[in-house]
Amino acid sequence: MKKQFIETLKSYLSPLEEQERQEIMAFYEERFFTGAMYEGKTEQEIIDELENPKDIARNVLKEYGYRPQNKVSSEAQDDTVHFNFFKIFWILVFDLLIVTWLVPLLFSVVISVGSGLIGFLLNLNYPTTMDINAFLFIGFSLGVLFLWILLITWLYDVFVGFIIWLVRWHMDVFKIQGKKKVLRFLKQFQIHYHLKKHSTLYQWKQNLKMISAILIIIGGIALLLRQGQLEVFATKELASYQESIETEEGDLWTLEVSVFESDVNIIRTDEPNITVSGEVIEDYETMIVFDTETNTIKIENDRDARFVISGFWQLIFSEDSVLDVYIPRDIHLDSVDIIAHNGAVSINDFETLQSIDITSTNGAFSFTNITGIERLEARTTNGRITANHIQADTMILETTNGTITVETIVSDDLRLVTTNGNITMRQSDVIDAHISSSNGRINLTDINETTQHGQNLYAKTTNGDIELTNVYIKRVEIRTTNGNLGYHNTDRSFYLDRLIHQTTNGSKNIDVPKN
Amino acid sequence: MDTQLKKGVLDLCVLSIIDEKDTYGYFIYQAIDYVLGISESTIYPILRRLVKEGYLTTYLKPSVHGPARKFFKLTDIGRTHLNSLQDAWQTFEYKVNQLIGE
Repeated sequence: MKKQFIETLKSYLSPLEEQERQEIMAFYEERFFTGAMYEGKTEQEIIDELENPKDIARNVLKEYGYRPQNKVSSEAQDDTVHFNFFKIFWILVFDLLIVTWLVPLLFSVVISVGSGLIGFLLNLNYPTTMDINAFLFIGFSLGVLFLWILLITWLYDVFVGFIIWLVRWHMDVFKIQGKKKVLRFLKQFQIHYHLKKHSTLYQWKQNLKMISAILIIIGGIALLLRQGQLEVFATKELASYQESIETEEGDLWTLEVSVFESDVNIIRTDEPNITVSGEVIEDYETMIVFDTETNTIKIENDRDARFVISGFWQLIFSEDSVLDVYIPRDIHLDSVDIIAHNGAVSINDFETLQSIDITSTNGAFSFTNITGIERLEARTTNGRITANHIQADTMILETTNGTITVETIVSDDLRLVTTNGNITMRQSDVIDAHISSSNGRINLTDINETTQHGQNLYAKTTNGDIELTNVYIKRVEIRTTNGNLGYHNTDRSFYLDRLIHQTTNGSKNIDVPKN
Repeated sequence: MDTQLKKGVLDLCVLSIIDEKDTYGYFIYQAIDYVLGISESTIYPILRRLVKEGYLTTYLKPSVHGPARKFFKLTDIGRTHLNSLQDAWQTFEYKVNQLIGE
């Protein structure tokens, strides 16, 4: 009797997990012991005291959160399907007019308006100088961008929601079964559904909302207060430009360039005229002056009150303004002085120049075929520097983020400096060389091989190797912290006067004869 | 009675009984049944749940007459939980009394 009771109860409790079921069964087992042992009751008496197994199971299952099993739904039993033809007519009209035409139209209008706005913001003329206006404007643009991303996700959800609604309606009208399953499946396509499931994602969405609101409000108000500067947000338009002046053989000219957002190329020509041509930014009021009294070519553009952030977007997206300066072969240039903010500079084919002085913020430099020059000085922050076939008494090339590559250089005093970039020098003749990098390799090959030996070489980097091959300089000092050192000369008859080499965390492979 | 309320009240009853003295399932049922007239099958899942939530622990106590019986004992967090339930009950009781004009 007890056994039968226990078995029956067990089978009724079968929806429970095995462990839970055993725990509950243990209570009843114990109940039988206690009743029998302590109260002297018979099994039948105990069973009479207890509820019947079915009720026990129902109560227990209820405590565990199990609901009684659903009866077969009446809907499923209804075999005869009644179509409402009026409803079907309306659904067809709705499908034809609204779903296939109006809804896509609305969505595409919203999206294209938004994209237009974003496109406008991306093409604006962003400033290079990071003044307060620039920050406000970037903040405002980012705010709009974030908001647009949020809006797109919301719109997508609305679209999916609309489809779910449509499917439900159709299934209702045509009495298609399995609605719940289909709808649950469709819900998974909503972004919101996943956001709700992952609280961190949801939190981020909320944060993004806040951030964009703050950016737009602060940036927007501030920009409205500075409305005078707003009108110069115009998109950068390029215009062709050309100006020339006739020269006579043997003239001596000076070139002074100071431009924003423009590459400058200085090129030799066989024409008798000095010509400046290229694409210039319309709004920048480019000015070219040929001063015949002092023989000076002045090229300037001006964007003073301009709200320009060129650096960021423009470097990536828009084409650059280019100025080509053509110098006739039969005249001389005394000095070249170039300041190019966000512009690359190249100078080719010159001899007997006094000095070249070039500064840029985000621009690469390239020099080829320049001989007989006293001083070449070029500094940039983000740009590669390459120099090929240069003969300069003093040569200073500096960049912050860029490699320096020089080849066939002749210089008494050479200085190559970069912070994040490699330095490579080949087939060159130098007397004193100072070469330094912080996070880059230094590679010197075939230095002073044919001419007289160099005097001093100092090469230093922090995180990088230094590799010297056939470097015939009398006093050499090479230092690195995290990198290897290597020095090898083929000519064994060359003896160094002094060699200092030091690395903290790297190996050395030095193989040169020394006095 | 509202399920949520009933659940809380029964938890309070069960924990109070065990707080007085470690005891076994059937005794707890009898004590509550005596006052509230509740079914046995309601109490056992509650005991099981309270163990699972860490408010109670069990140990086997050998007996002279038959097999060892499972005794329930309050844990530290069980005692804290009991205190909070007591507070909640007293506030509830006070408010209801006010409402019905005791």
